[in-house]
This record gives sequence, structure tokens and C-alpha cells, in this order.
Amino acid sequence: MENQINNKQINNETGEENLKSKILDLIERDKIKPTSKIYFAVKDKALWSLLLISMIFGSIACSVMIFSFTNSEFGFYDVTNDSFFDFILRVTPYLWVILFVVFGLIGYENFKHTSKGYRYSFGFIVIVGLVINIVLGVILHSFGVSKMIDHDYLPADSMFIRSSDALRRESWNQPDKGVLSGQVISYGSSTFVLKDFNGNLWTVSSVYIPDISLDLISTSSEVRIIGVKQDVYFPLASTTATSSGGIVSGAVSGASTTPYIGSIVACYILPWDTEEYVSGISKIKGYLVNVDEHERNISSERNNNCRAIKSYNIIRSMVELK
Amino acid sequence: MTDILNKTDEELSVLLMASDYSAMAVLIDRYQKPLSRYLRRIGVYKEEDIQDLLQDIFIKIYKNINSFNKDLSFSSWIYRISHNEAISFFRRNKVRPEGNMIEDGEEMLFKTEDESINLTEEVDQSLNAKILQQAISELDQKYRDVLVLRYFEDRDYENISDILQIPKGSVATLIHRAKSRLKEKMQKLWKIK
Repeated sequence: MENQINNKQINNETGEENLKSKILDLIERDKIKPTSKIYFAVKDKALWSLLLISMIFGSIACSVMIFSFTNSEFGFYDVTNDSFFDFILRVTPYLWVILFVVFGLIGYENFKHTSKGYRYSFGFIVIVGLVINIVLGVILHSFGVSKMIDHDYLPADSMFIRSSDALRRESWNQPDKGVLSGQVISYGSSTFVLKDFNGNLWTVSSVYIPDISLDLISTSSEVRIIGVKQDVYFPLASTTATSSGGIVSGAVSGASTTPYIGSIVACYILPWDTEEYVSGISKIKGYLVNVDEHERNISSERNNNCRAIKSYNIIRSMVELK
Repeated sequence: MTDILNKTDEELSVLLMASDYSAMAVLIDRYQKPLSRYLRRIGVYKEEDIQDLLQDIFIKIYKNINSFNKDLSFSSWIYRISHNEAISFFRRNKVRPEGNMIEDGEEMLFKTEDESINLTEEVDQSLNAKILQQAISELDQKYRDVLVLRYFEDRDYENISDILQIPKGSVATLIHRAKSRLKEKMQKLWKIK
């Protein structure tokens, strides 16, 4: 029994010696050398560089997302969209969100493969990564990087990505919802002709907006209108308001005889360019918006045409008179 | 020669980085037995597979010695390489880890007595050890890994985190879950027996 144990021990020791000499012989025969320090140093630096690059691009994506949301005119979501959900679907900058996620994943994977990356949990890395990206994104946004990218580098019309301006033009070109925008071509005392951003001509009655600002409605000025689409056309300077809120005009009907695509009774006229929003629900500052003071206070006296506009209270609360 | 035998792992690693060939022989002597035992414990069953894996592991250690991070213990680094090689081996061969840990199982029963894994007192220890071995072999690899490192290799949480390359918090969670799973499996097996 003792002999058997001794034999087993000898066999084990011989096996161990065999393995050692086999490994050492293999190293010598195949001239195996340790991989150089430089290789590992470069690999490590490459990982950190990729991480840095992904953080930079992630932050840029984040800053453009911040720009898109802060310039989405949240206060008007009720005017230009059927619901808040529609608004979110419309203004979400999908490509930037995807890029943000992709760069986030690249950054995560790189960090995980750094020498100590495995010591941190998924949640910790994600939270720290998000905080860094958001902080950098806000900094880039405050330096105008996001605005520059949005204005100068994004296409006006593309299937996957659009500038916030293109998105705004699309939002404000829904005449069936009573929302229209464009350039004033000519104007009379209570009517003006608007060329929308698609090049179509509209007649707009501003009869319910007294004391109309000449600054706002002048030739070549860009405006946006909230109102009600009409089936009649308003010849320049020929519409008048009735006490009941109806319209009496020398309306010309039939699209074939006019260059106009349609007409709108304006309940609100806002400048196209507003000061940039600090937050989505801040007021439009510094512009004279012609809202009848009397009507602002007594909503029951609103005219028939404008009464149905659901966002009246929202707009009223947003508009700040000079 | 005696001098080199007395060197620590970290000192040997420095020699190896300087292409000192003799350090490799000492490291093989020092780690051959513990690593083959570890491989067996995590499920490499056949002796020839263990020998092949050991050869690959030591060659890898030699090749990658310059990537050794001195923030880690050298032992953890070697175990990490061994663990990764074993996992690659399982994947490559599409085998489920088996292993033979009856002696280890008996040892582990004592270690885990205060942690409620042990079964009834009057049960024969070797029978318990067999049940333990079977229960461990039925565990998912991730549970098996942490249990082996914690209770068979006596590694602390930080070491296990460095070897398996997972956060320390995850090690604690895995050990906790592994113990519960192991207990369930042992109770089930005990009823069958």
C-alpha cells in the first residue's frame, strides 16, 4: 500500500517535470517571446482614446438633443400637434438619440475592457457616463455648438434627420389645423397675402386682430398664424368684421380663378423668428403680438371664428405684450 | 538557484518581463499543482485536457507577462488567465463542466457548516460530499465559479472580482444566489437518495 502511494507520488512528480520541460522546450523551440510592453501600452491608449472619442460624440449628440428639445416650442405643442404624444414623436431627434445610444455602448464596452473597468457595475458606469455626457452636452450647447450643427450641418429635408428649423416649418404648415407660416407678400388694412414655405399663396384675414402691428405684418416679414381655414378667399382690403364675429366679404370662390391655394382667418399672428427659448414653456419675448386686450380678459367675447381654437388659453398665457 | 526559489511571484514577474527564463520554471513549479486542482474543480475532468490547458495557460502567461497589472496580485492574474482558458475550452468543445471533487466536497462541508449549506448532522460525510459534488456540477457555470473560488480556493471577494472580472458587489450577489441554489439542489438530491 505504501509502495503504491510512493509510486503515485513519483508518477505525479514525473508528470509535473514533464509538463515543465515540455513548456520550456516549446518556448525555446518556437522562440516564443513575451509580447512587448509597447503593444499593451498602445492597446490601452487605444481603448482610452476610443472611450474619449465616444464620450465627445456622445456629448455632441446630447447637446443637439438638448437644442432640439429646447427649440421644439413645447408651449405650442397643443397648437401644432394632436396630442403631447404626437408632439414627442415629432420632435424626438431619432438619429441623435440612436447616435447617443451607440456611442454610449461603444464607450461602455471600451471602459469595461480597460484594466480596471470590470470593477464597476453596469449601473454605476451608465449613470456616471450619462452624467458626464449630459454635463458636456450642456456645456457644448451653451457654447452654441449644437446650434451650429443644427443650423449649418443638418439637411433641411431628409428621411432620417432634419434641422429644428425644418421641423418647425413642417409643424407650422398645417392649414387644416389652422396653423400656417410663411412670408407676407402684400397687405391691406385687414387682409394680407402669405406665401407659405412650400411656395403656396394664401389670403389671410387679420380682421379679428385689431391694431395690427406694421412691424409684424410688412412685406417680406415672416410670420406664423394660428387661425381657422376658410372656404372663401379674401380680396385684399375688403374684409370687415361683423359684431357677431362672422365675416362679410366680397369673397371670390373657386380656386381655378385665383392664384391662392386657400384662405385663413387669423386669430393670432406671431413672428416666425422668436428669441430662443430658454425652456420649452418660456414666453415669446420682445414681440408685439396683437391680441385684443379686451378679448384676452373676457374669453366669452371671442369671435365665432376664433372661439374654437383650443389653445387660446395657452397662447394667451404665453404671449407677452410689449 | 535557491535565491530565485525564494522570490515572490511579483519579483518573478519582474524577472520574466526582463526575459529571465529561469523565472518561468519556478512559476511552473509553483502553480502547476494549484492550477490543475482549480481546473478540475471548475469542471475540466480529463487529465489530458488539464495537461493541455496547463500548457496553454503557462505559454499565455509567458507571452502576456508585460500586460500584468501590478495593481493585481500575480496569483489573481494567473487564475484569471486559467479561468478564461477553461471557459474557452468549454465553449470550444461544447462540453458541460463535470469535475471530481469528492475530497474537496468533504472539506467544503466543514467550511460551510456555519453558512447553512450542510445537511443533517447524522448523515455520513462522504454521502454528503457526493451530494454536494453532484449539486455543484448541476449549478450554472457562474455560480459554480464563485463557489469554487470562495470555498475551495479560499479567495476573498476582491480576489474573486479580479479573477472573474466582475464587480465586487456582483461577487457577493452571485455567492448569495449560488448558496441558495446549491442548498435547494442538495435538499432535492437528498430526498431522492
